[in-house]
Amino acid sequence: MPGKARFAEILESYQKEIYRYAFRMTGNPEDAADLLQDTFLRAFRAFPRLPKDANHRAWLYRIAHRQILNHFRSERLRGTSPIDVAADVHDANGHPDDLSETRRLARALGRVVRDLTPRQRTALLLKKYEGLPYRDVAEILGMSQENARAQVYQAMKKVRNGLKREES
Amino acid sequence: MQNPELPTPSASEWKRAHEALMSSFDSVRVYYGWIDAPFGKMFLARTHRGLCLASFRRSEDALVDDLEKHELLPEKAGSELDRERRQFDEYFKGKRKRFQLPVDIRWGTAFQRQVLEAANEIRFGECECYTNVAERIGRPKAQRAVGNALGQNPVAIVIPCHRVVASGGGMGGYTGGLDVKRALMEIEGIDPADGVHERREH
Repeated sequence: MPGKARFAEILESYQKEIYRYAFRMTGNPEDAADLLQDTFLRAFRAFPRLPKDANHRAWLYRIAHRQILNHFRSERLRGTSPIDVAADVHDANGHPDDLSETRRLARALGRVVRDLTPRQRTALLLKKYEGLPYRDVAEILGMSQENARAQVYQAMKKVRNGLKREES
Repeated sequence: MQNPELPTPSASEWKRAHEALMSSFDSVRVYYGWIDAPFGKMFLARTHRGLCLASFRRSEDALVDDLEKHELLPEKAGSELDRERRQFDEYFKGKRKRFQLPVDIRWGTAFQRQVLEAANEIRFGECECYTNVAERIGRPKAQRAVGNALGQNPVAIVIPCHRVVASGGGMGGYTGGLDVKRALMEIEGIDPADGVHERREH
């Protein structure tokens, strides 16, 4: 690609994973769709001022993260349930025999993830599910890498304990 | 240990979210493409409001940069510019005297828009000098500013700034180059050497 990245290419490349992230954070497809739009419209307005060598992926997650925190805040003010991650799981590649187990596990995990703080949830999703390096996770969360590692560690610990409780 | 699967959006949920996202950009999307003019490549771009750019001799990169600076989302046109392409083609073949296209010139100053609107009143095959245009907009001493505003015309040919020439019958200037201005005048049968035609009142 000649010259700097074009916003249209960034939009094309990252919209699906940002939607998945918003969906997993909120557990609600409509809220996730709204957050996807908010994120990319904000990104679009900020894009002309973005340095040429910017990490677009981390930049988008940072915007999405802020939008999601605002969303949780307004949900709290409205007194509605912040998340319901226990939505159905769609495993197109799963074998029929595995599907119920996959679904059961996903629901259990959804319930456990729901108990994480937004920061822990973000750190866990970005590191363990989206595969971002700690450097980016730290930047998105606005904290040191050590602190980001601690968030992931705490999240994993809570998830393991939570899943054990679900099993028993 | 592999991370256990988390809930994932279904294909239909993703499709809805994707379509909503795409339509949220409708107001800033700009389709761009080019046509082969008799004097070379010409770039065209249009927003949902109308044609916002018709210009010569630019690289695609420079064009897209300019569009992005205007907070637009450039996208290469497929059939979206068919109407514009057809009308330009007809004009170059001498089969069209007037463009019937909405234009989007919102980015200029009020003065620039006033000058462009005045230039837009000059008919096919006629020409007018900078002084006349300046007088018509009520700024008789602003010939130079009129020239500058015409030089910033974002939609060349459609707003016919090539029909504005120097008072003494000279060509005057042209952002696209004097050879392009000459070619356009030939298409319209304008010969500035014959002297500047006063604009007829219609």
